[in-house]
Amino acid sequence: MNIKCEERDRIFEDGTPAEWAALEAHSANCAVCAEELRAWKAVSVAAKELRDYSDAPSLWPRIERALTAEAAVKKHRAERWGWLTLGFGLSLGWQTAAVAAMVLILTVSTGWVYLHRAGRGPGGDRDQSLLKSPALAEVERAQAAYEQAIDKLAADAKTQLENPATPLQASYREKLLVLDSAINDLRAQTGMNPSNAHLRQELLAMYQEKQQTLQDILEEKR
Amino acid sequence: MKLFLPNRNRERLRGARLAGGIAVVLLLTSFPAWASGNWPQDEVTRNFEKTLTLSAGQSVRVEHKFGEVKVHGESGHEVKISAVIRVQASSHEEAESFAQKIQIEVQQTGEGVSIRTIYPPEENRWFHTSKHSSWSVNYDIAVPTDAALNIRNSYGGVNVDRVHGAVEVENGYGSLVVRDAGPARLNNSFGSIELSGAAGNAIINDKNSSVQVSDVKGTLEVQDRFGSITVLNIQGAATITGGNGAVTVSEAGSANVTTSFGNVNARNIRGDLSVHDNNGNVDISTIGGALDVSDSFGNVTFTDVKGRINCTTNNGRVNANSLAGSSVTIRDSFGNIDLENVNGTLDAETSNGKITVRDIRGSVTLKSSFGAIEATNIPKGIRAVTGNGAISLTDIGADAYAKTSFGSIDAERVNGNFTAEDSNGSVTARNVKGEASVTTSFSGVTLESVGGRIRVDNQNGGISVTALRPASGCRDISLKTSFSSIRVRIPDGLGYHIAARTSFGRISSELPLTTTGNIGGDSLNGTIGAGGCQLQLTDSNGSIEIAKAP
Repeated sequence: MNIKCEERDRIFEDGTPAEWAALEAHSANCAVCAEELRAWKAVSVAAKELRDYSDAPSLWPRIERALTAEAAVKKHRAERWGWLTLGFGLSLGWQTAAVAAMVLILTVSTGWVYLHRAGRGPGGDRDQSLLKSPALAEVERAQAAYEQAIDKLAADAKTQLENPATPLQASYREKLLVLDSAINDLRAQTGMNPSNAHLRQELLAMYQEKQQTLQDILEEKR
Repeated sequence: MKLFLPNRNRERLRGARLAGGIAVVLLLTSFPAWASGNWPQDEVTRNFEKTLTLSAGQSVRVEHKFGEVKVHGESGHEVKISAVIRVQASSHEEAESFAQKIQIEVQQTGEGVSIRTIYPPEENRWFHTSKHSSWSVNYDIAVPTDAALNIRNSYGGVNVDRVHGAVEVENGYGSLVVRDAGPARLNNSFGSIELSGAAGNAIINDKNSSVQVSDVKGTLEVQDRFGSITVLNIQGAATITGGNGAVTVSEAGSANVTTSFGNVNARNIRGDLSVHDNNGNVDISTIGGALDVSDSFGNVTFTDVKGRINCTTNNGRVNANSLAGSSVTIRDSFGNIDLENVNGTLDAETSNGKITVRDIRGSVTLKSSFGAIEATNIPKGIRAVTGNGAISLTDIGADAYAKTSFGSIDAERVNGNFTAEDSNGSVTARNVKGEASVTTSFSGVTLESVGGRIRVDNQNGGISVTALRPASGCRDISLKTSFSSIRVRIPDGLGYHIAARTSFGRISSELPLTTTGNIGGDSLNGTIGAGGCQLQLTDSNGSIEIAKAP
């Protein structure tokens, strides 16, 4: 199925699964639609997080930690650069905050409306074998954070990994190869079965272990 | 209030407003879609139940992926299979359709019951048309407690409880927990293994996660490449091969541990223990049999070992005490050795470390290249050799031999003979009951309260010697040096034949003596008392003084 950019908003509103799939395929080659799709998903996920709050997986402390760490980095960055905005007064920040607050109010209110209209439904047995959208979004954010951190650490550890100077470094390299094969396998599986909680958990665990291993390599270097 | 902003910030502000506006519009326009439940996520659950009868000696086999497998033993002969199939897709119809295509194949043959999850072949194709679809199948299976069990699973955990037949599990990407089982053979990749209670032998193989094993009635074999291993209460022998994780073993018949890049902690081993580690610390206590340890780049500590000990390590400290075996052999390089309370013989050697030993009841041989040696309370004697370190020996019950270069030698309370060979260090010994023989240069020699024959050969260092009154007779004294003085104190009333010679020095005696031959400035020959023993004092460029011992 081929679609055009002008059909995008209609699909956002009441598109069929086939149309959604076609839009996703179209977005792969259309920067404008890709951006719109990404923005739509971000807002929808934020709204859905509220209505599906009770389904948020409490068994993901590592995700929480990753997100907390990510938030801490952002906060640190904000504090570091925050002084730059002081000279301009609060207007820009207030404007942005107001927009964010509006979005938040709308999402909260629509979430409440949805919760009161739809209730929990038959799927609300708190089974966590399959992730709901907000949980999946959190997991994907955590995954992205890990990938980012890992890329940076891997760049820092490149020399040791390419030319291991000690048996320990050689062992770390071997371990990373094993972890990479597991990560590739799990990524392939999560590509086919994206909301399977176990696959996601295993993948994040592998990312976490890879990150830790890279940190150990850099620690050993020091 | 009027705002004054630079142009760039005005642009930013416009951008922020625009973004906010788009967000609101998108939110409002999309509201009907997700408020009405059209957001592509609908879940369908389908249950599967089946019960079969298992004959004695038959087994249950499970082949599965994408979900948990829980198996528990029950009385009776029935296999009760319960499965929950969950599918999430863009629509209820799609989810339902896919859930119906997931098959659970149950076959009963002469060997037993076989359970297999079959996913539809269009699984991959389906993914391309419905990106939000996902699935899982979880099993809960009851089997007769005496059934044999064989499980192959991927992408999910396995939990087995109270199955007393042979349990064989091969899992990947999920934890594996087995409790109260028969003989067990467990393999896992990228998931932890926990086995508590195996009525027979257990063989465990993990690739990249932790292994915990407890209460195994038979022998145990564990291999884990990149995870920690914890083993507790093994009746038979435990053979553990680790990789990059710590190994802890407690309460085993005997144990053989090989690992690298991880610490080893072993305690309460009833038989022999063998540990081979690289790059990790080794901590051992309460071993009923012999102990063999090899390590590098890690410290080794062991206490309360009943059997003989053989320890080889590089670049790490060795600390040990309460060793009851017949022998202790330590080989180290670049590490200190500290041993206490050893019952048998001790042979310890390190290249560049200090050796400290206390309360060693067997004979002791210590060797270091660039480290000091300290030994205290050695009833059966000691031989201590180092290259460039000091030697200190205290309370030696038999002969003491000390050799070093560029370090001092100190000995206190030696019940046997004392022999010291030094090159550039001082030698001091007090309360030596036997003979004292000292060779050194460029430093002083002080010997006090020596009961036996005394011989000192020094160069460029002073000599001060005090002889004890022997129980009977007298003992020969021979002291030789150059470019320094000699002072000897001998007990009153003993007889000596004196031959003293020096150049450029004075010879004096506090004791009355009878001289013979020529009396020159540089030599003296004579007798103290009735003579008897030899007192030979040879010096160059130093004075000689003969005095009365206090």
